[in-house]
Amino acid sequence: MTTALSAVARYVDRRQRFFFPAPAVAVLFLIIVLPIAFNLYLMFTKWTVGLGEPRFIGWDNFVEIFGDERVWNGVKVMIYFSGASLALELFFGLMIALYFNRTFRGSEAVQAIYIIPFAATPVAVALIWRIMLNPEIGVINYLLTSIGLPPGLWVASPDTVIATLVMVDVWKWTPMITLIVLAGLKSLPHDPYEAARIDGCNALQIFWYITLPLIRPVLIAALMLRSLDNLKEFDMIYTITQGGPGIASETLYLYSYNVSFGFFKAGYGSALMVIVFLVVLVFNVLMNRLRRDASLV
Amino acid sequence: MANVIVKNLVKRFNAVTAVDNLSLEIHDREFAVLIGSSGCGKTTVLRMIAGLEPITSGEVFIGDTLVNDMEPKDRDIAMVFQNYALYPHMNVRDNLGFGLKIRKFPKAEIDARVQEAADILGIHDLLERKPKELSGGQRQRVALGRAIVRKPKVFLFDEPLSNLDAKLRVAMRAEISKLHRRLGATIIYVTHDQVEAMTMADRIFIMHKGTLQQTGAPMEVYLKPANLFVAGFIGSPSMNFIEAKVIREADAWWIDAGEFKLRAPAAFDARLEPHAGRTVIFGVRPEDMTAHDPAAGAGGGNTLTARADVVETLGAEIFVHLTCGALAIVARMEAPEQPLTEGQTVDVDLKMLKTHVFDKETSQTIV
Amino acid sequence: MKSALKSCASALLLCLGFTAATAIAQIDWKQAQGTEIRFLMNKHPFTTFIEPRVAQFEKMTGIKVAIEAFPEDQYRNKLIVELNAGGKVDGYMIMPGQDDLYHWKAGWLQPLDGFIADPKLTDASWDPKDFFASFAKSSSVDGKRIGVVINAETSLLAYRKDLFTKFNRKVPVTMAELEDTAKFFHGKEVDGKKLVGITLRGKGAAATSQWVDFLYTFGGSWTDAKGKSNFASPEDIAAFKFYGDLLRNYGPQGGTMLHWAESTSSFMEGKAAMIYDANVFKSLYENPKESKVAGLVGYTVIPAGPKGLQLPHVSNWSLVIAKNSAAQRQKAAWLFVQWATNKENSLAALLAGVPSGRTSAWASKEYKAGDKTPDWTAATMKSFDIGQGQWNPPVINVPEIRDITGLVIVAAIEGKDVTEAAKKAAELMDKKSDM
Ligand SMILES: Nc1ncnc2c1ncn2[C@@H]1O[C@H](COP(=O)(O)OP(=O)(O)O)[C@@H](O)[C@H]1O
Ligand SMILES: [Mg+2]
Repeated sequence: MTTALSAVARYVDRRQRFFFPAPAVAVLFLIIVLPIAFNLYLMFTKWTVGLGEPRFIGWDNFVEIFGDERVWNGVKVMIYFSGASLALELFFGLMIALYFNRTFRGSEAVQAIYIIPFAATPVAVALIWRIMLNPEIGVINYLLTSIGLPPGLWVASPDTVIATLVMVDVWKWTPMITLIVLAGLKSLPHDPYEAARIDGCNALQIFWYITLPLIRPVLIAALMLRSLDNLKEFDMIYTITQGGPGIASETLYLYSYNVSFGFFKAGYGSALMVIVFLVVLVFNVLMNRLRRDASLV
Repeated sequence: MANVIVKNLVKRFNAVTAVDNLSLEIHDREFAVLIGSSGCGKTTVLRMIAGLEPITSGEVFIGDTLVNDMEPKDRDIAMVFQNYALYPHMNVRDNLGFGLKIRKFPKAEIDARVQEAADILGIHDLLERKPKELSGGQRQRVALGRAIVRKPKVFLFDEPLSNLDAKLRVAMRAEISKLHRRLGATIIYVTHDQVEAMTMADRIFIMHKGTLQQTGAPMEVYLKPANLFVAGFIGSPSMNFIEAKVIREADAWWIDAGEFKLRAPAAFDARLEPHAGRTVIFGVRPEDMTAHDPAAGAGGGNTLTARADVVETLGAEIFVHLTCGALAIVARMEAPEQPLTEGQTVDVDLKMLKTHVFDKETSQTIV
Repeated sequence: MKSALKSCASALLLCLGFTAATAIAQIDWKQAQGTEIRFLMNKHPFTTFIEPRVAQFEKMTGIKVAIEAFPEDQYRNKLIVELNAGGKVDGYMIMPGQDDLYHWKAGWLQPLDGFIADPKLTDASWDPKDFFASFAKSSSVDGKRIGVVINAETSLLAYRKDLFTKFNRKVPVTMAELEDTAKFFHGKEVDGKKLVGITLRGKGAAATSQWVDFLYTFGGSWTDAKGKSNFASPEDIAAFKFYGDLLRNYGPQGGTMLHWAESTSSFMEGKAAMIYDANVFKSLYENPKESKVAGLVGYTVIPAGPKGLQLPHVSNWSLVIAKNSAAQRQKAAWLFVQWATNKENSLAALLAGVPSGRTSAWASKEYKAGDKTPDWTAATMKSFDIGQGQWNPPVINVPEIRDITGLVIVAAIEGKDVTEAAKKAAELMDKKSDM
């Protein structure tokens, strides 16, 4: 009995590198590899969930994508939304981080309040915004009109919907960028700043020539981190507009969701998901390259 | 004119007084070394001169201009920091040229000056590298170069060699001295290393706990320390301090340490007389002791007998750690032909004219 | 104490069951004795109503009924998965107006005509003619009856009786009058509040459910005789335009973001003179805790279109029997469906707040005695009579085509070129439709 056990023990011992990672590999396989593989298979099929089996149709889904106006609309919305929100979040995140980087009386309390939007649950926040933005009963128009300003249509107009969503996204996520950049600022070396003061820089020049280049890798890292979510932004847009009015705020990701889970067209939906994934991937590869260049300091 | 005058300078960090009523006067083109043990306030003084640290009270003049309220960039100074403070994101060329670029020098002028500094420092091959691709010594040169290209009136150095290895330090010391001569600028150089101070300084300013202890040429502070602190700080190994009584015997003043008695030279008489019968601190530098010359015979009143506990041989010289009763004394002398064995009893002669006597209460020098 | 109450209650139920059984015992209710059947149900109010009564049926027939009920989203998923896998399901519930084609094409639905026609299987008292015409129609595919209505809904025009009286306005009976009335009220200041003329759903796909009533009433249709999209037809375009203009010109701000929740709350806030939406929202309008207009609302059927058509849609849940089930179990399942939808249960359901599809229930003394909004009842019954059972596009991929339709509705509300949008949507619909 004991010898049998010890034989097993020895067997396992000698093959530790197979046995120990095995559960992790199995889980990884189940929750990551399988779904991805299934998705990759589905994108070459036509399949309405619940109706029959997936039918192999080769590249037809991708042909359909190129002729699908909503795909192009989705790309346009995604570029507009992500471009504007990422740029603004980065800009305000950096500015506010610079402001918080100096200690002042009560700065901790101010910071604690400031990060509340970031800490709040996205869907809850989005719901509140949705109610506040309602042109008829929302508090925002109420406030605007009560101080004599004209009310806005906000997400109810195709002309302002993306700008409004950008505003909400910026409100929600700028604190995250701020936190990351602030940590970066705090870890910057101190003495180049003094060298720069002696070399003749004023505050603006110090920011431009010293802070900005030094913090650039952190900014890019923050941008990458944020873009992963932002390019696939779902909760907020879905909760507030569901892509509306019409398809005025329907990003490519939202459209792919609608196709898969609203229209139950799993094959075409998978193909769209893959396109979204490729966009995110390409963006991050580019950013990574930028970051590598920037971090060579 | 680029003299630097510091008047009654005080710096307090909350409860800590880092600099306490310090006054300095550094002449134009002088190589002034500010020395003192770590934490005594040297860097703080330098940073106040540079304008990087607000002044609590007192005045700083550069070239006769009161600069208290002037931005660092307007003081016409350059500073070399202890850890170089290079711009990590710029290559060496840009690091060197940055100060000029900010000051809107024409491109050609910048290139010429960078070229010149690179010549002086021999860093041509490094111009395209980033700081993190440089060794410590190379970074040090770049930091120097960055100061040089500016051609400022005053250079401020904060322990620039402390991060280098010993050999490099010796080499850089010589180079900085050469640079000083070549540039003809005022240099204020902070260090805690007395070798640097002794070898490079025109004048040394010795600080202790935020106050100035003594000012003088290197040999002056070595030979004539103003007080116990300076005497102990300058010289390596440090001066031996022995508590002793001043007594009058056989028409001479004697230093009575209990274990032994030494006769003070006649030159000391006038100064010792007021301290008759008092306890003082007697000081003798290790290098002012020699093995007893039997030819001189006994009775010179300058010989003491002790046991050699440890003998360190440095080649031509030896350090001997002596015990004489409860007293420990270090002597530095020529290596004798017959090597000393440890535990052996030896007779040592003191060059009495070079010894010092300090007031025990005030720490001030008596002789 | 509690268990004593419970046994008392079940004893009472037993007695009731016996009397009921003896009263209608013309067919042999025991003919499927010992059979076990399984029904999948949505956790709908009807399910909540019928579940406690099932013991009565089991007692009467000796059939064992297992009901498994889930919340709607979960129910739909589970149902599809089980039917796909050929699981043991004998009966379930669907919304024919939305699901019938899909289930029919998948071959899951058992036609019921044979059971209904068989006097040994169907008791005379079940009286198929008692159901409103529209629901019998809506529970049929390709001329075959596939389900029996258990929950009946339609849409109505609700209006502020108080304002109509105050301003001496007539209730609109034509679309032209509807527009005129909306225009009249739009911008009127009442109690310091600015009114809008009418509120409607405007949120793309969600709006199609009410817009379709305008489509039919304007003489339009989803598809033409050849099964192609009919959006580009003058009637369809007229319906899109009328609906969009009505909401844009006389509706709340941001019409394209109005779902039923926003639209009804606008009306309940007293901000709109009229609303066209589901009849069951009466319970919202008339709830004084939630609504500022409780007791002030009148109800009527959709106004007539330019050619005199008046075609609201009706929607309903129906009980169906699974094609896959064995003959004996199908028989038992039919007995259960028949019992669940008999006159007594239908009336009891209506009294419990589940709108029935039977005329007799609505016309009963018991119901009328407790009816606080007879004009709602009258309008609802009329709508049930004249209504259309098909309110979704006649395709399998309903959500996708509704979405495409929603794009035209949004374009119409935004005042864009409707003809252009409708043409584009028609093309898209033809391309994307799965028949
Ligand atoms: N920013 C500061 N805040 C508080 N105390 C400081 C600060 N800078 C220096 N000190 C204190 O002032 C004294 C002198 O420091 P410093 O000038 O750096 O000494 P040195 O350069 O001679 O080693 C030390 O006791 C140090 O702890
Ligand atoms: Mg220091």
